[in-house]
Amino acid sequence: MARRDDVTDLEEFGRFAEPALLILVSLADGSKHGYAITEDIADFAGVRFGPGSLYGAIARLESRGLIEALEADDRRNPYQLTAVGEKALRARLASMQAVARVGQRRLANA
Amino acid sequence: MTWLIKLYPPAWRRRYGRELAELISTQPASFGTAIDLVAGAVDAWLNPQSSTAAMAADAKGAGAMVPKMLQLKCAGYGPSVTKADNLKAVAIVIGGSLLAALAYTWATARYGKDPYLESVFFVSWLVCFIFSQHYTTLKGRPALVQAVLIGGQTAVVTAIALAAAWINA
Repeated sequence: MARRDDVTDLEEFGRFAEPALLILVSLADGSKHGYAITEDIADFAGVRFGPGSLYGAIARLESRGLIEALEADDRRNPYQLTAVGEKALRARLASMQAVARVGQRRLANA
Repeated sequence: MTWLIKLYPPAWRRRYGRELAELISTQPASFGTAIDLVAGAVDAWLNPQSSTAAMAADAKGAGAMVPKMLQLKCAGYGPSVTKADNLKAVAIVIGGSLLAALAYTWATARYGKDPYLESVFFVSWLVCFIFSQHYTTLKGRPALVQAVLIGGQTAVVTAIALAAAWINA
């Protein structure tokens, strides 16, 4: 499958690829801080990342401009998706959808 | 469990430490969380991110220098650390820590609990990390420089551990 070179590929995040993807999905409906992201991911994906894994992924996403920190709210820093992050998330979800479609078609024909 | 944040690099702590402490305080302390934090600290040392680099430079009032520093790094500044080097470094930290745990278990069974033994065991993973720098930050440095830096750091860490044991003994 062809990959668009102008879009950040989350695969380059290594073991942080999955938390990074889920963080982007979590932020797709609005800004959240670390605790809210953890709870949201546990809610919709059923996985609860440890604080080290969560912030390892947040540091990578922020460094590549996929998310950005907003003004600190008390001791918590909310993060929001950037335009680049939204583009990367759309590309990743489209790629996953394509794989899911092929898998389901093959299973249906099995 | 927030004391584990001290294992992270200073620049990382300045950028994310407060938020991480807040998140840790919302979760029950567990062995899994401790392992996750230690792994996160090792990753933060081995793979520094530009978000923390910018923070470190800002703290020194040198924000404008960051892009130049990053350019210099792209042009070949610093050690050329390959993926294989990183894997060797991780193997030293994990393998060394496991060996230390085995040695500690054996020594405790043979000699009983001892504050000096415990203190040295608690910093053993840090000593392994210091030795792993041979493949990362110290790669390519002259052998004498490596010996002084690795030996010096190890001596300081061990001295602190023994001093803590002496206070508790």
